[in-house]
Amino acid sequence: MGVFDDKKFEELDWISQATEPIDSPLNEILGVIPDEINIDYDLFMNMAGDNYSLDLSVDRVILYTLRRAPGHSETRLTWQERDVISRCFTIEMSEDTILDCKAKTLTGEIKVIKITKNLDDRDLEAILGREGIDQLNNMYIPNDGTSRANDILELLGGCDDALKTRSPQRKRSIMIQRMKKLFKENEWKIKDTVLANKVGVWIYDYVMYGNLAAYSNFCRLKVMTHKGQPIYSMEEAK
Amino acid sequence: MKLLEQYAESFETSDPVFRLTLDGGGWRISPNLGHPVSRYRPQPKTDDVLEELVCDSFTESFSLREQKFVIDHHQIANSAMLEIRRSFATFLERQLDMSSPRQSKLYRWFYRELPEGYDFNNDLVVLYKYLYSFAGKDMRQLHDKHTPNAIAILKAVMEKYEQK
Repeated sequence: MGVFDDKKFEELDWISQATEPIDSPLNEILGVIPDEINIDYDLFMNMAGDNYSLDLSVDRVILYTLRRAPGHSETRLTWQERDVISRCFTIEMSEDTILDCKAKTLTGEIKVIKITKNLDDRDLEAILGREGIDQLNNMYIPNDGTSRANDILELLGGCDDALKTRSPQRKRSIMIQRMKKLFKENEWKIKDTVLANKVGVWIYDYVMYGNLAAYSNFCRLKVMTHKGQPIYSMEEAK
Repeated sequence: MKLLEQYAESFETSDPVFRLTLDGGGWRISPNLGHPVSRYRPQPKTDDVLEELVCDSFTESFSLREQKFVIDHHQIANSAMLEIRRSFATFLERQLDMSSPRQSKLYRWFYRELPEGYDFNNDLVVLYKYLYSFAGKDMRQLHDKHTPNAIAILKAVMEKYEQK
């Protein structure tokens, strides 16, 4: 195996290699959540009870169910991922449903129903790289990080204005804009949401702390993009 | 003050029963905690102005821990007391025969420097009942005899407590 090989891509069946679907753990998470969840009084209070308004949203139902699913107690979802998963569900409630906290009863029927069983590429494209970009939003380039930021800007390409300016804020702003455009058009053909999310994190670690492993990973990924093939995985330096 | 607390002690709470509504295009269920199916509103049982004031100050909140509505009797009484304390400045603003009553020393003292204290509050309650008897709830109505008398009493109160 070479350093620049994409092991995951090579293991895909030929149809997947031809269609290049976006891979994401969100599809597995979606599969873990039941197609229909009936909510009674106790479940309602358990799900909504730690919320001061006692509102129950699809998002809360998903998080509650996921945390109790085997192997997912530690699963962490970003806001964007929660939003994508939430769109796959809807609440159905019978007319005149009454919550009686005195008698501890729920009169009527509440169901959370899965309306989408598989996330399609359009949903997943919207969250490609978002977690990393969010991290860059919190990045303050230190004095000794300017040259490292320039290294990244050169590799990202299309950031001439950022290379000319001496303002760290402007460099960061242009870097974020470039990242957003890069993932929106998926110029680097990254087809894995986890890998895409790491890009921003590597940039952050290198610019902020001079983490050379992170820079090495970023450079490897950049080299892999030259093949023009979809990228599902890469061998990371730790 | 004690009377205010006694009135507040007699209050009950709404039953914690809510009609659920589906909001946000089917994404969120809300029990509308501020609007229980049957809402308790205390009604004055006597024609005592203080009871009416305490009833007006009634508030309840839903406790998630206890899963029922709870009230803080002391806070309701304090809220009614605050209304009473505010009413003196309102009375002076509306009844002082001046072009700008807010500039007067008497108004400013009652507005800003009114002392605190249980006994003093008890005195204010008595004084409030007197003002209410002729000026009404909004402290607007003039009375040939009582208005100058009330202003004189308020001046005396200010002078007494300023010396302290």
